[in-house]
Amino acid sequence: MNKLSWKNVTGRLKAIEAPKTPSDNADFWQDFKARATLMRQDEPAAERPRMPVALRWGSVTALALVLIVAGWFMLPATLGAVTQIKALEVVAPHSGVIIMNDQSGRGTILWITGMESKNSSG
Amino acid sequence: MKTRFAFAWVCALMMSAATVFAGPTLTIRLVDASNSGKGAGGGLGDVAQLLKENLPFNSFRLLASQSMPLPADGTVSLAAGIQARCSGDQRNLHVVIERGRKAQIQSTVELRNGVPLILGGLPSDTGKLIVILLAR
Repeated sequence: MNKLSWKNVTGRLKAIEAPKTPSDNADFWQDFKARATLMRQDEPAAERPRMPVALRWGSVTALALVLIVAGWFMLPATLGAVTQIKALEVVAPHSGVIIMNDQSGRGTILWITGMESKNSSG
Repeated sequence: MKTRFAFAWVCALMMSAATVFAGPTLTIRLVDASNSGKGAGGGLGDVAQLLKENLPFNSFRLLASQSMPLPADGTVSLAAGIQARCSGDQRNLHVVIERGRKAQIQSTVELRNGVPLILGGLPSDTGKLIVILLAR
């Protein structure tokens, strides 16, 4: 390793040209842009963790099942379905028949009035 | 490994779908309605509100519950000497309610999934007997 004398050091330092400071705005921005092009400005996107295959299948299956079951149970309500009584014959002695369809579509009631008591009907 | 998982899931899905889409079942319940007591007993949760709001009774007690696959073709014995003879499919179900082997009510109905049909008026010791038909 060569030892430099202090005189040489100062001489060399003087010989090195001091970095040019930008003189005006245009120089500054030109310099800035030149430097900016050398560096990546956006962060590389982190790799998304991938869901395991089994979990993916599981979630799709669960969703499908939920939709199937929900559809199955919603069906009567969506159709506003009521039970139809196509034919009726009351064999036992009675006085009348009342058919009620619940307004909210929860069911149908067929009520037979005046049926004889258990004992008298034999 | 992936194939095995996929196969397992497909099997599970098919089994579940088969369960959901399996033929409907007809449930027949016999209920004793009276004014001795209050509320609806166990096994009537799905129809309790319907019964309470539409029938002049305070108490509903489940006496028996039976089920059969649809299309139906058979007779079930409930309680209090009541039997239900059912034949046909859900859209054209013939029901005969018998007491002591004597037909009391004969009806042909079309049942909707999950919508109960209440057949009532048969006398009991304390009030009236109700037969609930439900296809699901």
